[in-house]
Order: sequence, then C-alpha cells, then structure tokens
Amino acid sequence: MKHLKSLNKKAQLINKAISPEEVEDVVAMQTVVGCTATTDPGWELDPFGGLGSLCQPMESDLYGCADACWWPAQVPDTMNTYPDWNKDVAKADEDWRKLDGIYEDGE
Amino acid sequence: MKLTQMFKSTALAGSLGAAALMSAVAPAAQAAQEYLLTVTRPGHLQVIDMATNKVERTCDVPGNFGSGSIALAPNGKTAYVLSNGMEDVYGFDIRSCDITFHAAQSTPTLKVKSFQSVAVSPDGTELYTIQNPFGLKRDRFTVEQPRLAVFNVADGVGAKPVRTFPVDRRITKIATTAQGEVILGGADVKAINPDTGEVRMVTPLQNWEKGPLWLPPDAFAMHNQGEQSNEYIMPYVTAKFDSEEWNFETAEWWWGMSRVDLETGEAERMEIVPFQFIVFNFISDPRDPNILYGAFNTLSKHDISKQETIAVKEMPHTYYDLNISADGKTIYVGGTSSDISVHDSETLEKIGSIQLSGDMSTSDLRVATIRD
Repeated sequence: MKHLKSLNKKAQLINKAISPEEVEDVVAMQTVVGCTATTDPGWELDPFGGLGSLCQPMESDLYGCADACWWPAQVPDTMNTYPDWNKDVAKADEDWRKLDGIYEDGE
Repeated sequence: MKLTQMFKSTALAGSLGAAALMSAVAPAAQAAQEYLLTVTRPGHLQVIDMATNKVERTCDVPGNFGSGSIALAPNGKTAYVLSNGMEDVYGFDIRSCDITFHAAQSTPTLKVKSFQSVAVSPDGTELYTIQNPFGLKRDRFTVEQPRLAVFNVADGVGAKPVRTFPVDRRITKIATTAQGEVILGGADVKAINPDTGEVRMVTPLQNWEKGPLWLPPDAFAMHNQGEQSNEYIMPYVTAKFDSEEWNFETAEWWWGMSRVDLETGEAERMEIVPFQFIVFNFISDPRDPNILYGAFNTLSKHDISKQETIAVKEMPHTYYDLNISADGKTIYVGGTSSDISVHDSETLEKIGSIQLSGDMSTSDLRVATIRD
C-alpha cells in the first residue's frame, strides 16, 4: 500500500488513520461490496459532493442495499439471485468477515 | 452547495388545523399498552414492550428475509409482515406469535413483488398490497401491469386476492384512510377506492405546477410510521432557483413533505425546513404537528411553523427510520443495524438502547397499541 498514492480525501484519511493491517481488511471487503463499478475507495458521493452524508459505517447500509436490490451490480442481490449469500451473518457490523464474494462457478 | 448556508424562508404554505391536532392527541389518552415492532435477520418479528424497552417476544418469520415492512391491524393485535423477498405477507398475533394469515403472491410462472406496500382496512377485515408482477416465460421475462390486490383477512393462511385493480408503477408505501381509501405513494400521492378501483389525485409531486423556478421534487417513500399521529408523510427535496438558468450553487434547497391526514384523506404539501443534511424519514410529535423529528446519520428536531431545525444529535451510525411513543416523550431510532437507539424527545439525548439478535436492514419500526 505504501507505493500507492491516494487520489481522494477518503483514501488519504485511510492512509493516515489506520494501521496497515486494517487497510488490508478494507481492501478485502471491497472484493465483496462497493457501490461503484471498480474497487476504488469510497462508496459513492452524497448529494453535497462529499462523503459525510453517506451511510456510516458501510456495514450499516450493506443489507439495506442487498435486500432491496438497491445496488444489484455491486452487492449480491439477496432478493432474487443470491438469497443465501448472508444467511449465516445476522449482524453485518460484527461478522462481515464471514461474507464472501460471488463467483460465476458458484464456489 | 454550501452546507452551512442558511436559506431564507420562501414558500411555506398552509397551517395545520386544530382538528388534526385533536385527532393526533386522542389515541395517546386512550393508550393501554404500546409495543414497538420491527423485523430482524435472519427472520424474526421483534415485539418490544415500550414500557420497559425490553424484547418481550420474538416471532419466527417464514421465508427469506425482506423487506420487513409491517402493517398493523386497527386493534394493534395483529401485525402483517412482508417477507420472502417482498413476495409473501404473514399475519402474526403479536401476543402469541401465532400465524393467523398468509398470502403467497407469486406462482411458478408469475413472480410478484410488493415494494413495502402493505396496509390494512380501517375495520381490519381487508389487507391491501401493491403487486408488481412479472411473468417467467421459457425464454424471457414479461413485465405485467401493477395492481392493487385486496385480501380478506378472514381467509387466513392461504389467502388469495378477492379483487384487483390496475395502479401506477413506482408505488411503495401505502396507508388507509378512515374513509376506506388506500393512499398510494408513487410519482404523485394518489388514493384508490378498494371497492371500485377509482383513483383520485391527493397531491401531485412529479406533476406539481410550481413553475419553472422549482426543481421537480425528489421524494423518498420507503417507510411509513405515522400511526402515532394518524398521518402519512412523503418527504421530498426540492430547490428554488433564482432564474431559469437553474444555477444549483445559488439555489435555495428545501426539505418538503406531502402530508395526508388519514382521518380525512386530505393532504397538504409544503416546504418545511432548509435542506442541510440527509433525513431518511420524518415523524410528527403526537402533541404538536408542527414538531417533526428526522433520522439518518443524525437525529434531528424541526419546528416547521418557523421553518427551523431546533436540535441535531449526531448518531454513532446510520439509522433508516424512527418512531415515537404516544405521549411524545420518547423517540426510537432503528433500521440498518441491530440496535434501536432510544432518545428523549425534548433534548434528543440518548436514554437507552435495545439490542436485537440481528440487523433490521430495511424493516419498518412500527408502534402497535393494544387498548384492552
């Protein structure tokens, strides 16, 4: 991570605020979720062009996106296609490490 | 847009009548026992005693989680829960967890989703959903006409629609009026007669006629929690521009709402306070319809008679929705994660927390009042 240059404010804050181990967690989580088409840091922009009015932390909003098919391209669609994706994780903020990615071969 | 900018008042219109205030206060005087209801993952209807703020009962909800929308019988004893990926409705006796009603809306060839839209008739005999069907053909999907579906509550488990009527697309939360109409929250706020299918405009939103200087409203109709004031609130955001150039930087940004009095079926629509932060849902104080509370990353208190935000409390995480005790003293903030945050409505200070066994996600936060 030390060779990468932060391009936005949130990424800069991550670099300043947390340890390398925690950064690895953040990167790992982005293989599962994220409301952008890439794995760039950040969830999206709020109506003010910033980040302060986004859902916080992301885990609080995770199932609200998945259950309602709110961001179906980036979050597994638990309404129709992957209803069992998070069946063993009742609390996203506590057990998000148990949430895995979705792979085309079903593994 | 400047977050700190305070906008001068412009277009607040209308006043709230004494009749509305009286109808809101009356239930509080009669309240016997209030229960806070919500649904948590993986599938539990939580029945919380609001006298102690303890979970009194947890009912198993069949089917996959979601959406957790809840409609209440008028006597407060039965809660109808939208489950199984927004396809099935289950009725629970909240005193025993017995399932008294089940309607499976989908068939092997027709998927039917109801996006939050569940309501009960004022006499408790009929249940209403908005059905959004799509056909599952061998080689394609077919998009079908959305419709109001009417169920007889007495049909119990296995209930099928007894009447259907076509409705607009984009309808989410609904409610019933004392006259028996069903309020439809969509692009505009309309009402349908569930006996005849006749639809009337209650108050326009996308089709409002405020002139070229006003941004068409962006309404958010996800949760319906107006039972303590017998009302239906559809919040929206809009902007008033200083010219037809539509300069977003200099525009006045406003929160507004369409508010339907469920006793009369009449509505008012007005800009209420400057738009300074996100609010997912508003509720009224049952003691004073000019006082509103909102929740999201903050818990906020607003006096719409003065177009002012009175108080703002930062929250430790996002909450989608909120409700209030009939005496107006205690606010419950929920949705998203697994804790309901309890607050003093006067100061907004946190006075308690109710820990639940799973995340609420998109579930409603409703108050059931049992008076006997």
